[in-house]
Amino acid sequence: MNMVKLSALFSGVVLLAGCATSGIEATGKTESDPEYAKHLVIHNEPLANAITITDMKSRFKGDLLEVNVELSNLTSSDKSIQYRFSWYASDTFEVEQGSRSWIPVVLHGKSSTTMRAVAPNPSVKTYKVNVREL
Amino acid sequence: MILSEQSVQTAAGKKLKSTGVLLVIGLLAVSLVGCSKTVKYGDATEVETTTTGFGSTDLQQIAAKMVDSVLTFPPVVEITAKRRPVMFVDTIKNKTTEHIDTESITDTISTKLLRSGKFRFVDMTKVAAVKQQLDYQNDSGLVNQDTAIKMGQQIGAEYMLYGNLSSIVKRNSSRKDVYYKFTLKLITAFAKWYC
Repeated sequence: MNMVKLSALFSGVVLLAGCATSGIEATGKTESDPEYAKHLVIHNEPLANAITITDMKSRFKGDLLEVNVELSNLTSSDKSIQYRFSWYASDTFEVEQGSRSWIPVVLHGKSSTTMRAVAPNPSVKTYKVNVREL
Repeated sequence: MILSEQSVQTAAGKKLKSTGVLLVIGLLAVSLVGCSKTVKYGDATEVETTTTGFGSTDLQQIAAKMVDSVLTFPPVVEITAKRRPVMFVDTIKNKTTEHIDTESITDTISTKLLRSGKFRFVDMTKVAAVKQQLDYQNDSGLVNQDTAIKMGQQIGAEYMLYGNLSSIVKRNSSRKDVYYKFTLKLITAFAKWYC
């Protein structure tokens, strides 16, 4: 997916100078205008040219936030990446810090996968997912 | 015995990385000058691939997946919507060929479930200590009976958590493949399911 599509999917796309250990950072909010509820920050442009977040969905199961984030490999070769979710009670207040570890995933060429997670407690209203190369 | 909701599990995994000093034998054949080793803290949530053995990434990944699975299972969502059922943790059988501290896995899972605010736990390993404390409070004559916790006040557990950890290991001359399978079972008088 090129940058035009990314821009269409996410309200804000910020490009920053990249380095090897940085990656893509996507934030999703449950309480706001859907147009502005998702925000993508690219710290590593070469990675963003190969791997992209194509969809972000969330819903409440009971009172716990359940999140599905779809990740796609734009290249034809396998990509080893890792991702980590973090949880926020508001835009900035992180809860249960360190409760989620980095999860390794192999994304096969031209394929996509869903990163799924459930919030650790009912206070979570905003989530963030970081993706970087393994 | 109800565990306090304030109990906190810290991911204090300390990874020691010794900064290697590469010795190029040819260049340093005559004199070795000042080889210092330092110890650094790493990120406890980092993907750890030191060996194929069961590691911190496996533990954290398994615990997170199991807890997500339990908390979003529709009957659990329904049951925990209005009350916090009491659960007790039985053992996780280690059926792999490795030495794995399975109690550590159940500790992580039960702490996450407790901190979700959806369940309460009884700790069967501390029954004797609790009994001793209640005997002291009620029978020693030393404790003001207005403040003593009376016998028979515990809430009975409705659910039991237990499971198996198994592995499939295959290897050839150049490669070793380890597949872990973790089965968590939560049983009650009404339902049983597998994650």
